[in-house]
Amino acid sequence: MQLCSVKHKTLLLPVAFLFLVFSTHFVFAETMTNDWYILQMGNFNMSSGKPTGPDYSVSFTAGQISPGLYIGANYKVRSGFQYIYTLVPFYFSISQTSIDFGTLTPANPVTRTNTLTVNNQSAGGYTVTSNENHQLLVPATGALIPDTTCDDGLCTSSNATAWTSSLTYGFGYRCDDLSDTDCVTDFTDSSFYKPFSASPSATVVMSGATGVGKESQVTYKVNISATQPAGAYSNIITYIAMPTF
Amino acid sequence: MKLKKILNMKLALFITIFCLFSSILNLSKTNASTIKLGIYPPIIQIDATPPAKVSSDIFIQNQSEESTNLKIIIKPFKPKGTENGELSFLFKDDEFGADPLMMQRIKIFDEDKKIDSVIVAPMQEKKLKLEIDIPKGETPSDYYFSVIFVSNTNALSEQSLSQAAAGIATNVLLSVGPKEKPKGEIIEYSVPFFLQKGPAPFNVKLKNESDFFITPKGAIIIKNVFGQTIGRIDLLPVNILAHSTRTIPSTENSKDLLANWNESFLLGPYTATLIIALSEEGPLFKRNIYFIGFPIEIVIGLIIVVVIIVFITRKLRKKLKN
Repeated sequence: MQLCSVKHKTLLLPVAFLFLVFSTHFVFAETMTNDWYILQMGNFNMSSGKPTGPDYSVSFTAGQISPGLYIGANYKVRSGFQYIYTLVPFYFSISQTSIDFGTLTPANPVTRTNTLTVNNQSAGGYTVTSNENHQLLVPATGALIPDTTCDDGLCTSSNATAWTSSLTYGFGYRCDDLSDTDCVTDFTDSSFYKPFSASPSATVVMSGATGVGKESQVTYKVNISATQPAGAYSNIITYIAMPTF
Repeated sequence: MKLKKILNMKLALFITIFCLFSSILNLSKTNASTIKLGIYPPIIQIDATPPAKVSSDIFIQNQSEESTNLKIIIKPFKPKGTENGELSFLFKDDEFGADPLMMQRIKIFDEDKKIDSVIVAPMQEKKLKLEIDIPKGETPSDYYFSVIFVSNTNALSEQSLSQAAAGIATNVLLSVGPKEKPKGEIIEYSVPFFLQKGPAPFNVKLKNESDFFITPKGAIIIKNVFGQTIGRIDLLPVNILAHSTRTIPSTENSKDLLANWNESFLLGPYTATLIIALSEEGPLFKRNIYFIGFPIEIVIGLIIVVVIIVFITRKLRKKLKN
């Protein structure tokens, strides 16, 4: 019994050794990052200067962390911001890309929601703009559900007002902060809506500074009149997330 | 017994087929997909002297569970006027730098193939190349544009719906030289004259009067009444585009565009000196402002405490005398 156990132990050592040797083939060098940390290289300065005045000077170090500086023939490229030492990408996500309103019935407003999320660790600030390719439309017949002008008839793509009446028809949206306060400030009241900008114009929906998990909920509202022709209405809302410069 | 077994098997087979069909049918109805895109770098700053064939990598990530076909759009922009680095896209007739052919010189490559759309598989990162061919004798000028990746959508449906397309952009600041020495001025440098407590909120606005973008670097040095340096606020080295103004926050406070001196207790007169250099070669600007810190609430509190102590002491003395 004891002999058997000794044999096992002697076998175990070479097996473990072989396993370690062969398993090294699967090791790759990766940039090690996640949402919370990044391992990065040191700062290799390309040049430095010291502009001076009569009393003061400010030291400059041109270049930045080495992966962000490229020098070619007659040109120099700096990738990323000089003051943000991270290689984490700028992320943007939309929780649900298909906003299905189902079968619409007159004077029965339908609302649907989706969530826009921005993870911005690599830019000083960002904006998310939106626009629609056209109003809700039945491509085959050309029938339209017009963009809302809200209860007072005054809301526009740059100005939200109240839309509570079931006799106010059209299509519009509102933005609510789920985390942080990045939604535009137009929607001061929960009843406020506005229409999307028509492409190629675009309106800012969210904007903010550096941060992770910046979430906003967009509520889409559509209401039709009794005279609205039947059909499957559709359009495309384009959201573009842009870092500031 | 055998019949029961056969019946059970039939029932199991029926349930399996039913589940399979219902899951297939359900799958075809599911259209609530999520899209998540990532891009690096968020900004590309290029300084070029003609002739030059500029090349820079752009990494685009698809973190969704489905493949995404992304259309690539190059859109020139200008500063929005909010003075915080936000941009607005140019209209068709707006001037885009000195060279009317510049848009044609900007190309995106996937390996060696010029592309205007790219398919990115789930959880894939694609390395693309931005190439700009600047010919000999090109007029010095700046060009600002976004490279936008927008997901394609298929809006055909039997129901009424809106389809959301996701787009993500990186901004490119291209400066074709040779450059002259930058010009600019401090438009605003202010802080409330009287402060009860910190932080002291400095407002710094700089105008770039050059024909190219600059990345100034500066700091605010704070001295007390005895001339001792007691604070330093480093300013964020932001990009200021040609002929535009930008508010410059501190490195510790990029949220509200103020350069805050995070000192909570302020007492006495202070001198705050702004020193800012527009580039490595200068010019260097210097400006002083003065403010007074006086913690009124604390002083009133102390006076009340002193009055109470004096009052009690007098009362006690009177009592002791009696």
